[in-house]
Amino acid sequence: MSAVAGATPSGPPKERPLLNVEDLVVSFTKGKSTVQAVAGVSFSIQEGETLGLVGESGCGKSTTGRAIVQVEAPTSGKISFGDVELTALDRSEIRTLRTKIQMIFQDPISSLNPRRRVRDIVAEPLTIWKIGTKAERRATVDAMLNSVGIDPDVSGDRRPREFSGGQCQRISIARALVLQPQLLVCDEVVSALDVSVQAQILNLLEDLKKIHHLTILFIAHDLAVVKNVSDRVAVMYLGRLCEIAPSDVLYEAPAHHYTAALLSAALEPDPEAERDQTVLSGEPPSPINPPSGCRFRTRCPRAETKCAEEVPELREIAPGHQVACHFPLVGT
Amino acid sequence: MASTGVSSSEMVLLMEDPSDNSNKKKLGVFFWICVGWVGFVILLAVFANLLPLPNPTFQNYLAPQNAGPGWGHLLGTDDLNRDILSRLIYGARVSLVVGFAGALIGMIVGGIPAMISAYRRGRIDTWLNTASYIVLAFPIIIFLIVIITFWGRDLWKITLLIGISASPLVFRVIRASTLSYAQRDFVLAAKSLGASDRRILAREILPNIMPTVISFGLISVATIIVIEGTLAFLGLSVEPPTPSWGNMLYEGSTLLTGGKGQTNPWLVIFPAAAMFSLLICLNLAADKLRGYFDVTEVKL
Amino acid sequence: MSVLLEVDDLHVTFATPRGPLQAVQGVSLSLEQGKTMGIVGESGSGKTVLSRAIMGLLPRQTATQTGSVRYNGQEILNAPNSELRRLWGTQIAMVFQDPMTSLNPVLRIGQQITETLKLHLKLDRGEAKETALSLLMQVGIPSPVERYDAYPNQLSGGMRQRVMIAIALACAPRLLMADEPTTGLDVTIQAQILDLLATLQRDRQMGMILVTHDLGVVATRTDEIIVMYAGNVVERAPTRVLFSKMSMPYTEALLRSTPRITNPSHTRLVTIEGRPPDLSAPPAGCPFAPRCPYVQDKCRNAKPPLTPSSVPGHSYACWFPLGTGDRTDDKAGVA
Repeated sequence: MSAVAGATPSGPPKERPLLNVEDLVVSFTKGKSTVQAVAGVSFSIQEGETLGLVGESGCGKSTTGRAIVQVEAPTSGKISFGDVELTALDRSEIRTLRTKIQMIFQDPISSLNPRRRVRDIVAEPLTIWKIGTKAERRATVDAMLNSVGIDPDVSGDRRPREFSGGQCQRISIARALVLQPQLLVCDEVVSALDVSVQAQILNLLEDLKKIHHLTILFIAHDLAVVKNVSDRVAVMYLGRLCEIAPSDVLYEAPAHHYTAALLSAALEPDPEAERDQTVLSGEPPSPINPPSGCRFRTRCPRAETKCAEEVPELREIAPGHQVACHFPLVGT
Repeated sequence: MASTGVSSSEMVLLMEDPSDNSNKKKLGVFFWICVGWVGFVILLAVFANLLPLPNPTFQNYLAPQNAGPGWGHLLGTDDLNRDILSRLIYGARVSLVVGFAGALIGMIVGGIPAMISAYRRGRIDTWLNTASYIVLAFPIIIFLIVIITFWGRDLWKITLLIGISASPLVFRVIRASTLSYAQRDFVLAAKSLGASDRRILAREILPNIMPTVISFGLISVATIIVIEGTLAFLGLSVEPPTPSWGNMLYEGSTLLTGGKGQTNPWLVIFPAAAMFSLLICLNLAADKLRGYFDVTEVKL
Repeated sequence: MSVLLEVDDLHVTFATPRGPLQAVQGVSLSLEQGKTMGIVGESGSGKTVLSRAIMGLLPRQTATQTGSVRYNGQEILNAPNSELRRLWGTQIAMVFQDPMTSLNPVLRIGQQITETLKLHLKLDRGEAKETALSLLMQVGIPSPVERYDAYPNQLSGGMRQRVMIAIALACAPRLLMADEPTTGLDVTIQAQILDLLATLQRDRQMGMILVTHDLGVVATRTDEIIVMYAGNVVERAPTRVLFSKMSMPYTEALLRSTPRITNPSHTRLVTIEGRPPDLSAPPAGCPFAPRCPYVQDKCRNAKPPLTPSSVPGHSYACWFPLGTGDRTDDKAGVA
């Protein structure tokens, strides 16, 4: 079992984290082959913090997010939200908890029903749960649309196809927040947007987080974006966690070799930037047949025989800094 | 070398304009003409008994036999001295009832399992899908012939049977349509908001597949009318003397080549023309509707 | 160094139901052999239309192109397809963004490479296969002999993009246009692909144009950068100069709204409010005026021309370049 609580940079650890994930495994079976998209992941998020979850395609970060939101069924492991153990609930109990955990998706267009009007889309959660009278719902919806930067009088009766990608994403955010959730899972929410629109949405999320006292799990593959919004960052590779640390620490002194490789490959808009040539060679191995022991060993410059024999567990090398490596760059 | 041309949809992406919202498509005059004709036929059929028509089954020995179109009988008479126009209008009832009601039955029997199957996936989907392939491979005419022969030729029975036999194809079409929407993020979003499956199917998916449903429904009506005509030609539609266009074609076919010593091509021309015009209008209307509902997506 | 590509006052207008859409408005550029140029812009900037217009890939019926595009001295703008076909593949090649839709999903990748070899270089089957295998090795595909018979969907995104590059380079073109070649690929694969392109370009002394929305992609891999906004070139400079002496407010805004790894977490990004203008009714003045934090009256009335600055090779289109005007909005951005 791995360590669970992480300290927010601003204060001592609270009593219990808002979200606690223990040894989560999500596997998919297609015909004869089984793929473990998430192969034993453990972490926790404190109330009010933003945890960034970063990794490349196929690492299982989106699947983790979906398992937390309960749209993907975990194969094994425990997910606790507050005092409640989500994985032990039945379908109707899960349904009631859905209002507390919400998700925003990557593709802004596909996230909205093209046949419905914006106001109806944002009001839908209230309608499903029969919250408030019609007039009250309308007021709530209009206020929420305003707070995400969409004028309800101008745009309320329009359909999604009349909006740009950034605006669609704002509508999705409004829809997610109308039920006043405690935890917001953002799955690659800005990846499909232009740089300037991306900046607007990231600022918007920061503002809304303060106003609505949100806790955020921010899933993305862009390191700079993740660093910008997160308090702590977790790095995933091929279904397993490599490293978790406060943002600034992770980026300045990464302990895991994969993290270091990711950072060196990042494209900074600075011609004077030092191009550390630890460009990772080769392709990620197939998730159907992952390498034994440490999954990163096939591309790791530091790999030894121990790495093939023993799976490295997440262990704490500094307060709040955990790494899953036998020979980390920092600490031993 | 990769593509050397740019398609028009690619060009839309090239223009990268996010707020193209003024392109309201019109259905066109042609569409309304088609709808008008279908509506007119329906009205005639419904209010047939209010029209000054002679009884379609009345064999009027005072009238000329096998007369061509003339003043007394606008479309002529058949070899049993019955007024063709009247038979045509009353006959429309059969075609329309079998067509629309049959299509509706097919849509419900085929469509609802299709939506559930495509949404749920898993074993139900595999089974129903395979079943639909198997059933579709079987020629329905034979199935209909056998059952109608043993079960009887009442209008409602025929309607029900044809409707059910249309359901495998409806299943495939609606399943494909539902699949393309069931994977989208907004369905996932609705699920994560706590919507029940029933609500998702009805409020998220159904409005999106509606254009396909309506278009395909109209085409089904047309196809079913043809099937009824075929059955009638095999002598298996509603029993005479009830007129139906198929019956009229069947009975009239014997007089095309002087079978009973007389020729009267009008007996075949009019019901065929009626069927033809209705089918063309239904198909054209369906096609126009499909084009009209083709929602252009937001361009990122 | 010979000048490979020269574009002079290129205008591209599309005929749309809503009226003419001016996607590219008077763009000029020139590229020397062996150099890399980056064209940077967001959606609606016209960069993709520009790259397609240079290649000659826009549909003639709807796109009106005026100006001049000269490849090696030969005028190719509005040239008939028969002439262009002689250039495509052998002289000028293009790598597109999404390799899944640019590769034929039902043909094996080996076949897709040899197809172009047989067509342009008239190689026979054996020679073509040998060349194809060597190309696959050059683009860094492991075990090329096995991959030769694979279908595109059996390869990962990074591999497919390498195949695309192999196809583009098969006939040794002298000019390579890469349109968002790494968007959507993983970070580590992006770096590999860009390094591959740079190596191949150096080895073959090709001219290369990189079209992208990502300043990070062009920052360390280009010799010169052109920034586009609403169909216009708003700034052009050698790469280092652009980042150190940027003069046009849009370039600055673009840079400041990009999150940086080197910035501490929770840095407030500087955003540009609003959206790019409607290209079917371009405004009279500077296209960036409605959103510019330094806008003044002159900007709204007159469109600034591309003016050279004191640094050679650097020009910008602004009446009040950075450093000369004051911020006129009330948003004090965090640097």
